[in-house]
Amino acid sequence: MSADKTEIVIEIDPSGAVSADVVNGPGGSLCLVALHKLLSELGEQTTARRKPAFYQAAVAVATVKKGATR
Amino acid sequence: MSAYAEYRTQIKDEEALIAALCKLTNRVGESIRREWIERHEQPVTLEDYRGQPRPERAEIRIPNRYVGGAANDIGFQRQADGTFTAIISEYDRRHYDRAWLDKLAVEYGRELINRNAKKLGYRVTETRHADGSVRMVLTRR
Repeated sequence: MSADKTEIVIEIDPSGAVSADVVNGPGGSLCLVALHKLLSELGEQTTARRKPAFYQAAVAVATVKKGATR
Repeated sequence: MSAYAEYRTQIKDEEALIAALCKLTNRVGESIRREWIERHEQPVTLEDYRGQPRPERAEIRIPNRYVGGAANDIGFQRQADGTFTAIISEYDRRHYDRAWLDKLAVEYGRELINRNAKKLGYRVTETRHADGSVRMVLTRR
């Protein structure tokens, strides 16, 4: 692979959780900046995974309210 | 009496939410159309299957006639932190269940990543898997 080429692999799992890794391109903080620009709007970043960037699923648990319809 | 559920989400981007909804189907298998989805600056009252007002209010509303069958409105209500909460009646959760919301989350992620990637000059190759997951490879020279 060319050294001046950036390649990022992003996996979205069936629940919508996103993990991403820079497989070719800048390392260190530049790598994190590239991922942040792409993914920061997706949700909260978690440090629970080893991937350089892992964003939690977009849908969380439900709260149930009583209502007046079926 | 029945119950409504509110699903907290990490979804903040209204345009990406609507684009993601348009990738999904309603209960009768029709693709959800952009023109069905109402967007409001201020939250509006949701209606039940008879057209009667419900206590729930939302900025994004899919009217019950498009939800499929004798359904209630579906809403997405903006929270103080900017995220949307999905409001779905128990009756409609037979179709609009956790799996449907997970698909929405996947499509929302795709929309945002594709949009940001384009802005940043990446070329995107996508592979969809049978389990609903998506792999995206972004390249830039």
